[in-house]
Amino acid sequence: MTQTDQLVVDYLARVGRAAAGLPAGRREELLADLREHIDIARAESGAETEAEIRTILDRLGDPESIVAAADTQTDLPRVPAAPLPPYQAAPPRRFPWLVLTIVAAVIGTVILFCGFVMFAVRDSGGADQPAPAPEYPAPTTVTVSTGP
Amino acid sequence: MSDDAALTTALRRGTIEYCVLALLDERELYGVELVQQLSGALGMSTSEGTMYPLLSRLRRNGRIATTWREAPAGPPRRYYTLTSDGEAALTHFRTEWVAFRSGVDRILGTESK
Repeated sequence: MTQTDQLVVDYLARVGRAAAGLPAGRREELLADLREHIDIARAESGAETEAEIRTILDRLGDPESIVAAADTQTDLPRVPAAPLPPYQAAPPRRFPWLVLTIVAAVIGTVILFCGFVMFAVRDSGGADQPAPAPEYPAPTTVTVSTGP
Repeated sequence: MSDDAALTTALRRGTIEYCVLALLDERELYGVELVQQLSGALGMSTSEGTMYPLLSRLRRNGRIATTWREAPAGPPRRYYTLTSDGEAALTHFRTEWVAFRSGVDRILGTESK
């Protein structure tokens, strides 16, 4: 084996070690792809000096990066595993105001509705007959019905 | 990884595989050609090897296929070709990409005048 062949063997061995965590099939495929690339790049450029082989290997990149790429090549794109910035809770300032506004709006609506109902009951009660038992408890009828 | 490297990695993720499909849509290419064209165009000439895992995934997903052909000189070459699934994925991505890109451009203020 020539010294240039040894460079290639060493490079592929580094890839193999870095890829120890990959499933065997994927590791073998990756090594075969890289070996094929190197063979063809050598054949095309007639690269036989050590410097020329090193250029081919340098362009392939360092084994760890290649394996890292293989590791993230699952069937769906994944977010890179960058460290998350320290967690910051959202400022709570706006939240109570929003709730208070909603509560106030609901209460306002209920009051308006009650007012409307009271007017409706009073109108339909009329002046010339005692009010029949109203559907809605109205304060006016409550006072009438007291007594022994 | 520097911030710049992390940024370009993040930008490439999700787009580079469609660059592969688009190159193969023009003509079939063997590994070395494909990897060199792609890394040349995207400024990745010192990480050609990282494309092979991507090619492997595209093959597993049925978007590309390979065939061996004899070469006039040197070892036989394994050519990568686009499958009909790959073609459909590329067409879909082109539409999505235009919409996505113009949205980002609008927000960033980088629309071409």
